[in-house]
Amino acid sequence: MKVLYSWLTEFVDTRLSPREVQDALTMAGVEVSSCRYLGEGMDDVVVARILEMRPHPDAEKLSLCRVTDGKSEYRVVCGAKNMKTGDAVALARAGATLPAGMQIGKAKIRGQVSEGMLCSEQELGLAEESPGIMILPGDSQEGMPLAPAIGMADWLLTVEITPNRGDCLSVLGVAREVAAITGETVVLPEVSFAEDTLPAAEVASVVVTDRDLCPRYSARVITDVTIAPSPPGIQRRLALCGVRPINNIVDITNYLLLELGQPMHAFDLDRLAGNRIDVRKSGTPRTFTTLDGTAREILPEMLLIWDAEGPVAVAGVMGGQNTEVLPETRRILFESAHFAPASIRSTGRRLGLSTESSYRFERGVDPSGTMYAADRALSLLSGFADICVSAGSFDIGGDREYRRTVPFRPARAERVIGRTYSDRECTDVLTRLGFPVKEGGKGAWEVTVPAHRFDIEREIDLVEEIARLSGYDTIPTTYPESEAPDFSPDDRLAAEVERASEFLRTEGFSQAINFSFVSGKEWEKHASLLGFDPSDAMRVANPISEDTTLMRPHLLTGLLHNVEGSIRRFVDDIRLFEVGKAFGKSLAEGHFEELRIAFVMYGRRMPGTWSGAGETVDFYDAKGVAEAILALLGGKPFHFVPAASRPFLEPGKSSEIVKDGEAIGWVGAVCRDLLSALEIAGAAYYGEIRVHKALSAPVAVQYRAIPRFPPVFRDIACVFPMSVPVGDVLAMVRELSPEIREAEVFDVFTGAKIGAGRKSIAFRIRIQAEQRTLTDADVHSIHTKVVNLLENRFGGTIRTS
Amino acid sequence: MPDTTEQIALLAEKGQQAISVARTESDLLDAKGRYFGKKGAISEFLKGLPALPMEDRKRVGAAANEARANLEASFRRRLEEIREKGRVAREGIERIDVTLPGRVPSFGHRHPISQTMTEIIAIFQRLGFSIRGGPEIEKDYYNFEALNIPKDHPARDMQDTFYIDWPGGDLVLRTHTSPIQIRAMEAMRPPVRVIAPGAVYRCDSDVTHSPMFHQVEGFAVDRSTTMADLKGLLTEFCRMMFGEGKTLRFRPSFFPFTEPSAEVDIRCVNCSGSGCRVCKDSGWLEILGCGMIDPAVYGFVGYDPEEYTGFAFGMGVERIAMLRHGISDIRLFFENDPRFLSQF
Repeated sequence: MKVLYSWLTEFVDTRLSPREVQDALTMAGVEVSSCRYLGEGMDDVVVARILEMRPHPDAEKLSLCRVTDGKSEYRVVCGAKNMKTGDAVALARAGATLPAGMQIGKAKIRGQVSEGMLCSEQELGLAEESPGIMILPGDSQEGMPLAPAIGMADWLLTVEITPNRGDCLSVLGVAREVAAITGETVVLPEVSFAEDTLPAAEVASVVVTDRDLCPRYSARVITDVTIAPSPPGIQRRLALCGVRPINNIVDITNYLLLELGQPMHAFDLDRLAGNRIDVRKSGTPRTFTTLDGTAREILPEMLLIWDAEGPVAVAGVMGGQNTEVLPETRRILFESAHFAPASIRSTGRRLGLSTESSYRFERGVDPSGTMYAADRALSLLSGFADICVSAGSFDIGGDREYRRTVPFRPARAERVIGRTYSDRECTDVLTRLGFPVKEGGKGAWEVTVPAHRFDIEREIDLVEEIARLSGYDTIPTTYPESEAPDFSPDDRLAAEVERASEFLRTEGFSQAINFSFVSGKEWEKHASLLGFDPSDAMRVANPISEDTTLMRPHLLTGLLHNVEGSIRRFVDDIRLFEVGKAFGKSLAEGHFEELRIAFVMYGRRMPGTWSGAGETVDFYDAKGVAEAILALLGGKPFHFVPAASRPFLEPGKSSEIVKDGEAIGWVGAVCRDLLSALEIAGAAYYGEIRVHKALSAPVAVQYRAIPRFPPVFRDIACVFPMSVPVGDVLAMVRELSPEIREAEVFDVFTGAKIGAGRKSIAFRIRIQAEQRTLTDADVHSIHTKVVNLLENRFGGTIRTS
Repeated sequence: MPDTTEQIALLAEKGQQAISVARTESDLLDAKGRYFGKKGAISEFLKGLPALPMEDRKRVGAAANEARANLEASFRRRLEEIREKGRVAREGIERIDVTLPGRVPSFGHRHPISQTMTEIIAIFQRLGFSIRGGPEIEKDYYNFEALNIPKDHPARDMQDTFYIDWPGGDLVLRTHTSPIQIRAMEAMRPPVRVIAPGAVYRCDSDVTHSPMFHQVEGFAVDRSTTMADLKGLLTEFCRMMFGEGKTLRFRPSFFPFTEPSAEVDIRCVNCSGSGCRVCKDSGWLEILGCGMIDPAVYGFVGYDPEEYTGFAFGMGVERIAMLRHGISDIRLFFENDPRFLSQF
């Protein structure tokens, strides 16, 4: 909200400078984000009068002006055409720097001396563009600095009002805050205007049917007015505060909205059927055209203003086209009311309509100030327009008490804030706020809160007032005393994830963070490839764009887009990981979200080295990374099961990672069709771990004695049909005998020498006993068992060298 | 018996000869074996020593030892010559280019948001807070109602909310990490001291707003927790996060779930307070919001506000990371451009 300093000082004659007002308000919780001097750059510009004008001898489009600032005369070359002899104009003398940065010097223009410049509104920073130079009012005083002459020797404060402080959405409200800070007094302008003998009650009638939604409705009637522009002073203030001047009647309602925070509405009384106002809910659904020309769908519970025949306004939100003030309007009914905040907000939200009026009503407009606001409007209007005001007014709810009392204990302030507040300090703050205090016994007070402070209903609200107006800087800094909390399961989770992340980083993976929402369009297009029916995904009802409509069911697409982007930026050895949630619908809980660690590998195995440069990553690189992450998370025992159940992975090159019969992750080559759909050439490998499923409860490792007897190694090469899963072979070999301490694959070979459809696998087996040195017979027996297993169980043929 | 010293001299000469003609280490060892090793000619010769007359023994023995010492010295010299020759030869043949780049393990990079978040969390863990997480798809009740943000209240406008398409319409993408306050307080009795990090969502997108971003929330409730404690804790946090000597200010503000509420500003990291583009000429940077937990919130979790008081605070991780790293466009965090990530 914009507040002019000059306007503010009409309500509180403060000793604070504009900058001091900015700081004081900000430190009291009413943030002033900027404080701008409006006359900036006009220091060397004065009012001058044109004494003589003649054409430039050598330039058709230029004229030579002789002007005076009352003391001296100046010769100025000017390119504009909109002025005439006798006009008051803005003269920038040599040496001036204009707001746009233009420096004015003495110059010769086409051979003629120019001792300054006649400025346009644009050059003075007063308008985006201007057709010619600025012509000032005829009575402007020559030689006067321009800023005060045009009312720009003023400061414009931009105030950010939090939703609880609807009372500050006006010059008066901000003035009250200044007064509460400084202890100065707010003065309301006197109102006075002449009243006609004809009573308003004989011209119009007002009833309020729904009193709960409209506790107070004040109105005044004007029986004669001529619609005309407002005086320049009013127009300027409105324009500087961001409101477009329209005519005297509309402008005065806007002026009062800015000044007192009271939204007002002017009805054309002659167009109000039956000259009657009723405030009541719509009752039935209907269509109603507001004054912006839009047909609005009105719901039954929305509050409307009615005349004798139908609705004429959406209460507190926007007037109707049918009764708006027109150039020929003569008679006016001024509405100045208080509507219930929640009702206005609900209506505005459902209509998708937020106005200066609804914005204030939903934050609370002072119900005790409606009549004063109406009178202030007429008082101001009568100062510049010929109006005939009917005698008396309408004021439904005017006799009610809108103030409330709130209990308060100074001891409570101390308890919450951690600083002592003396009774005197509390009374002082509350008095500056204009809250009368009744001190009860035992430190229990009763504080009367004026109607405009909608945010103060409870003791804690008063504690806040005491704390903020005494200054947060007076609160000491202490350190909270408390028992140390337990190490929570989430502490452990964070530590495990951090460990896995650091492992990935040292393995060359960079961390990506992608949005949790993905493009529903893309998911629908590639539904069969992405392996997730988009109808099983959680959807954002009001997405910010087409690319953010669906909560990702897995982390693959984000990382693949990162790969694609990376290649496009000429980085094509890529290792990325992401820690984030996947979402979806589930039968049991309706929907789920689950923490995952996902990674993608693309390009060379050892980028940045010159040996083995051509080797690209393969399935086993990705599998190894997955195994290492799982080992870190304590995921053992887990095993890899060939599976074609993830359509986004290549069927022959992917695996489910299974623990206790449940998939805790998957790893494999990204499906080629998906890669080509995303325009990624070559192969990419992907792994995704379900973190909670993989985590095991931490168990202390139980030490086993280091074997003291020497191991024996046996190498066995064996040819198998291609389909034999070597992982299963290894697992069974390890189970054969407790003396088999390790079995590993050290060579894999295929080719013509072995024969098509076959593979040669070389195993190295470490045989070792805990309590003795093995004999040749022991070793031979174990070796035979292994050979039998390989041949009989897996159809292998032992190779002899 | 021939002149024994002459015999020694003869053996010594043969030995020297063998050493000087040796071309390899094994030739040399061979020569040593033959002439002056444990079973070499000189040793063999000395076996005959006891047979000599007493007066000769001393003289011959000394001559033999001298000869052996000389041979030993020659042997070492020659050995060094042969090895040196070998090294020179190898250098010529086996020389590699040591200026070629080494095989550096190629480390990746942690995302700057993750780094900043980890650091914030670590500080609060050291200050006695424990982590608690919560769902990102959240019930309206936890995200708003129980945080004293009723429907049809203008405070709902403070956060542009993403709604989830869901029967009943009460699921939202959490707009802040504050719902974790409610979930934690429902599950625990005071004293509680919790730090709650995570992704949050708001319907807003420009250079300083992202529809998804990250927050760290913290809160503590006990019998005598005060706003002075909150000031003390956050002062300590800012010292650890931003370094010594960074002036702080606590400025009154409004959040529906705390009262009194405050914004915390630090002296601009860019201009130190003289005013610049980063701080919009104010000299201050807003870094977090905080306040005393509103009694209305206790009503939702069954704490007695007369018995317990507590505070809560929350900060945007992206904002802090942007200030620390001099990043002016928040969207960079979510593009995952390798040229961006590799800088951290």
